[in-house]
Amino acid sequence: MSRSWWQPECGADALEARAAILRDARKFFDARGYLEIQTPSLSNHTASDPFLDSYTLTDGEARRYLQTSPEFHMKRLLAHTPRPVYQICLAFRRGETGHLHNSEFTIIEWYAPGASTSDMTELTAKLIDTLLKPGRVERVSFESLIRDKHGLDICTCDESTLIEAARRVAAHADQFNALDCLYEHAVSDLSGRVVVHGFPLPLASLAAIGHDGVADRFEFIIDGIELANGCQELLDADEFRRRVNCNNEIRRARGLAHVECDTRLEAALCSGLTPTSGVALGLDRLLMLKLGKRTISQVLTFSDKTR
Amino acid sequence: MPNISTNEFRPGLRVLLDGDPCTMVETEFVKPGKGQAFTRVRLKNLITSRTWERTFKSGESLPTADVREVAMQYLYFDGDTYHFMLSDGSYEQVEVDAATLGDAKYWIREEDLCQVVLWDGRPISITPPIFVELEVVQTDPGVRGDTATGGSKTAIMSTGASIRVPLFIEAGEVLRIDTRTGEYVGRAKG
Repeated sequence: MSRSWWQPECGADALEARAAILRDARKFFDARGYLEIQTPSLSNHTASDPFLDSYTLTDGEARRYLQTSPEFHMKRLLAHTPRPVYQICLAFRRGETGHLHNSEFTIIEWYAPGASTSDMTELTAKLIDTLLKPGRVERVSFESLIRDKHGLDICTCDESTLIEAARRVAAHADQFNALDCLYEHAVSDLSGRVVVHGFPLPLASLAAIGHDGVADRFEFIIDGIELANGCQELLDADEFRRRVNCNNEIRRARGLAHVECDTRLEAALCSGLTPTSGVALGLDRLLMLKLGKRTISQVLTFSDKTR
Repeated sequence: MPNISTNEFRPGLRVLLDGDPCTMVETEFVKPGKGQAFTRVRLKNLITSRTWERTFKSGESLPTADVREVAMQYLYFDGDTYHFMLSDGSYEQVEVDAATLGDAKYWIREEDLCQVVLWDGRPISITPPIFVELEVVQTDPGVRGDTATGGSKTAIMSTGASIRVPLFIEAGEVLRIDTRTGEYVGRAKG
């Protein structure tokens, strides 16, 4: 089987499976009273996460960003009108190309005011049962996952022990990424469906902090692949600005561009967001798992390599 | 040589790692959850032939290695080193020590064409022709009906190599040998 350089990468099976997943996902959320919405792909603001790189465009004097996820706009909408909403859209992340990554990919993202992260893990599991096939889900905390795989207690060990342990599995480990390295190594070994919950604060992103002092966030893993992640949304506007500042400090230390705080989202949080949980799921990876494909380009019409 | 960054890493790329020239066998982009992206690379050390795995932060870079593979003719052994000459008409010569030549010394004869890997102009590995024809200098006379040894015996070749041959082979015969496995293929034709 050879394919000409101009031809699409995926076969008819992937086109049809994608169409079916889009149909079934909409049916799933519509039946549960979620409203399908659309928010901009192009914005004046973007995520400040030090490990997310946005595509930037210039618009006259102004700078615009392609959205790395629809999170900011969806939360502003929710702060105004709290109701369950979902969106199926493209997201863009610079420099992310690999067998599980394409710089432009499809996200299913949904939010439910009043829902907890355990409600959301349950709903995510149900959605995956519907779109893939029914399967059993295990739950494990971030802390116990690292303890099981690396014999390390991240709550009590000091930074140098952490970095040393991370170096054993990844040569590039340092104080900024030791936790990621340990986590990635542990996750890549997991088989079946596993929900990892309760992330340490440096990996909180925009999750609220739970009573147990860890970020109320989860990742849904299937056979070592991160398929979805969700959290109890951070409501505190001051804490939001503090995390953006903190991200910018890491950005500065690493020589990355400064990202302005999204003052519209900050104002929305100030006006009051109802306690809400949200989840983002990678549709292309779901399709990979459904069709048993090894690389994301096999489920895309045209990937980063052939677009 | 220029440095090359993680986003240009690809199989086949030759780089310097810990001072040794290596070739990339496999590269993989990894991004753990909300964490920092990195590239996992499997590399083969071109000197030791050992393969190992390393991870690199996105944006990290490695110096590329000046490694090229050339065809060279084996000229002679001066009692200390082996002399090879570029077969492109330049008559440029290099000397190879016994350690670098390794097992290839058991297969090559003068004028044989070998593949030589040069790093900064210095030879680091020599691959003999896949098939060579060598003369048997010593082997026991064949014993008819002796199957206890699996129908084969040892023969010493003109280069000093010792190989297993069928019982009917006699000293003075020229044999065709597969240098990848060191196995007897047949009698040389003509």
